[in-house]
Amino acid sequence: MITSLTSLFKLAASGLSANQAYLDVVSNNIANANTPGFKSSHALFSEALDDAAELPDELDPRRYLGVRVADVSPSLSQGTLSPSDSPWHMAIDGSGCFQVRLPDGTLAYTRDGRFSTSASRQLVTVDGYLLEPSVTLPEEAEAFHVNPDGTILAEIQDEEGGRERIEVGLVTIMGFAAAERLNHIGQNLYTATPESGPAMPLRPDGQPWGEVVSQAVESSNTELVEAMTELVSAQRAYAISARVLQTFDDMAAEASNLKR
Amino acid sequence: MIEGIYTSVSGMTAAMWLQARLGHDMINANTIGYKHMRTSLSDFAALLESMDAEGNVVIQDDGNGVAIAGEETDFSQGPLRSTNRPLDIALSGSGFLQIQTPAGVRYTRAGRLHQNQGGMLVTPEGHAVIGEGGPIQLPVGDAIITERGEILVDGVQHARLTIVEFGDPGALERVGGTAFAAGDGALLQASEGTRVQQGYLEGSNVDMSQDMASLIAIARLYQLAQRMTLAQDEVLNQAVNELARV
Repeated sequence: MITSLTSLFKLAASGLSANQAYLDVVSNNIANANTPGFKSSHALFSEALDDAAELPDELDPRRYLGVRVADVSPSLSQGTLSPSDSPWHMAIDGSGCFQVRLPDGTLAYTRDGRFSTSASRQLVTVDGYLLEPSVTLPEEAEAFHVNPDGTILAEIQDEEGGRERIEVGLVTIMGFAAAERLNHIGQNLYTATPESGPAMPLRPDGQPWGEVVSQAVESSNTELVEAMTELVSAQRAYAISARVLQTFDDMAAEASNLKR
Repeated sequence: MIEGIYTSVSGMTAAMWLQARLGHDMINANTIGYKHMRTSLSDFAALLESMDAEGNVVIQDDGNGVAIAGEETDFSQGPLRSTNRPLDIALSGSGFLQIQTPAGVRYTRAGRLHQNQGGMLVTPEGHAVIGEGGPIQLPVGDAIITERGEILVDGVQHARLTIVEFGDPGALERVGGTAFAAGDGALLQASEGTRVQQGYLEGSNVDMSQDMASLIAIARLYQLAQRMTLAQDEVLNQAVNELARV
């Protein structure tokens, strides 16, 4: 009897914790509705059932384990591109990510292309991480231009006083076989996982993953109306789990009243 | 006289078992592809009747394998919700997707699919989705899934989902992971009438108001059985301690 009551509490708790995780994901989406390059995530539940044969019979309450979070994956849909005044703001039209190197040496990937120049004239992200491979801009250049393939051209004065465009670097767009399986490490950054596969400079068919749009910013792909609907739905489901737990607790109290 | 106590404790056990099923059902109100288990007050009586003197359920074997007393699944269509994700699919109709798990072939209506590193179409748990030629391998590119389950990448058809239905869905066995196993006599057949809808997911078909009403009613039955147990104990107490004094 006690084992069964404990399993009822575990069952109700599964609903509370899964919906808590769901609420966290949705709140994060809403909080980042204005973060450039942000990709909203979606949690998906799966029914949890203990189908182990050792249970004495199939109606045993221990069979029912409630729910668990089966999947949290980012939605990779394109965010809207809006123009920017900064010469170093870039956005990706298509799939793929910018590749940056973190201070500890690991490679990370982001869609947030609001780059700027560091004191050492290198291109860095809003958090100061270097693009990889790094791009150093020549001091004498007067103007820059970023091509759709990511090459950066600098205009410099040649010996005759005319202007010349020379290539000074390349912003690479890397992509993944299974980009939804990237690991979100915060700050709008992702790292590769065994499931996502390694970063690749080109699609398997030899085509580029996307194009660099210069002087543009990709907005967050959070759909606020959808996110608010999910928020309400997660709160309701949380309340229902709490109600189920309350009912089970009342039953446990009744059971303990048997002994006088 | 002592049997009376066992009978009323059996009532408590039966109520608790039904509560577990109801709680499980209600907690899955947001689970994609989840199918509602009907639980009503009549299940309480049926469960109690199937219990032996020690309060254990005697499961009847009706020839189609073991019948789970009262676990009746409602396979009606759940609401479709738009996600705009290319590899989310919902089934309109009575069909199921076929997936390959380590424990064997399973059937599900939870249509969140992914492509794994090798390009294979898998469920979130990593189980391969079975198409007409076995597991489905897709190249990188934008997939279009037609209503008939054909999967096209860049305009070229690469595979077709196997959508099956059952002559007797009642013979399906719930196995967790929002999936079912086909028991003997489930009568597997290709589903021609089911339409595949890309960019949608099918929500849970849990009937929340019915579940909530049953949860409250069965909690009351539990309480009643507890009071009966106490009353039996009281009678026994009098029999032992007071009658003996005369």
